[in-house]
Amino acid sequence: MAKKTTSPESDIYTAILALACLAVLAATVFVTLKSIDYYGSESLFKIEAPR
Amino acid sequence: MSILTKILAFLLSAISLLLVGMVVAFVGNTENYKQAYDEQKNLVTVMRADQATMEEQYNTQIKKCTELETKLQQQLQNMEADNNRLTADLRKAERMAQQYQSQADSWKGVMTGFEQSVRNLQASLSETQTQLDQARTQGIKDQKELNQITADLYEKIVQLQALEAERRRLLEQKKDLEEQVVTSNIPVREVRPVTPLTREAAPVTTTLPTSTDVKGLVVEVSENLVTLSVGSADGVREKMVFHVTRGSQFLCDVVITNVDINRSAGIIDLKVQQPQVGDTASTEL
Repeated sequence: MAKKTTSPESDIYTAILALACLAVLAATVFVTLKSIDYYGSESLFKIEAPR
Repeated sequence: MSILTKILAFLLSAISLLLVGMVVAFVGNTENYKQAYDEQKNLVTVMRADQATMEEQYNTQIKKCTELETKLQQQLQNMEADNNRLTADLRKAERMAQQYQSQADSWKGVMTGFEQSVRNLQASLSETQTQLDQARTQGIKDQKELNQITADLYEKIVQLQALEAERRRLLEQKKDLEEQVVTSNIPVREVRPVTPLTREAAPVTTTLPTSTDVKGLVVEVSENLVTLSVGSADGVREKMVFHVTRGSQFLCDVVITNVDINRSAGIIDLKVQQPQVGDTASTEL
């Protein structure tokens, strides 16, 4: 099997994508915390007893 | 990695970062509606409590207002009744004032008549006073003449007593002479009086006018002035003398000085007691 050659530029773009995903994840966490702070945890998820 | 993949990865990252920034900014700046809701809910609760309190106070005030309105209505009715009563009293007082005013006017007219009567009486009193003074002066003159006549009468009585004594002495002398004639037997001739008696006694005639008995009542008495209830229509003339009596008691005489048709006035004479209104006056006792 031939060894796939990788260039250093592809690592940079991968890092950019990873950074973007991390930013999205951080934003999601921020929005979630903010929502919990504003409206409580029941507005996001609620644990109900089984019927 | 192809160029297209690179471009897509770059655009995806850029757009992701842009959206992340926008979402974070939006969420960071958005308003906490739940907290605002809770605050408004608490505020509504407080407002409702205040509303309940205010309603209670409003009901209390309404009740007080109703009671006050009832009380004021009662007072208003009482005041209207008082007003009606006072209006009736006012009308009654006005009627009484008009009556009193008319009475005062009538009394004023009566007083004017009385004043005129008093002035007339004062004038009559002055005239009567003048006549009384004249009558007193005349009475003094008459008293002087009476004293003179009394003195003359005493003198005549003395002369009459002297003449009586002379007559008795002459009778005694006559008796002695008759005894001497009887004892000496000298014939007796008819004795004739020296002075013939040709005068005869004239009958007694009165110069007083013959009048019937006039009776009246004393209607007014002042100091020395008496007014009688009979006048010229009853035959009263001036200088007539009335005898004033009370029952069988003689009070005084009244010499008439003024005569009216149905009234006469005179002055008191031979006063034994002061006459009063209602005493009887007559010309004959």
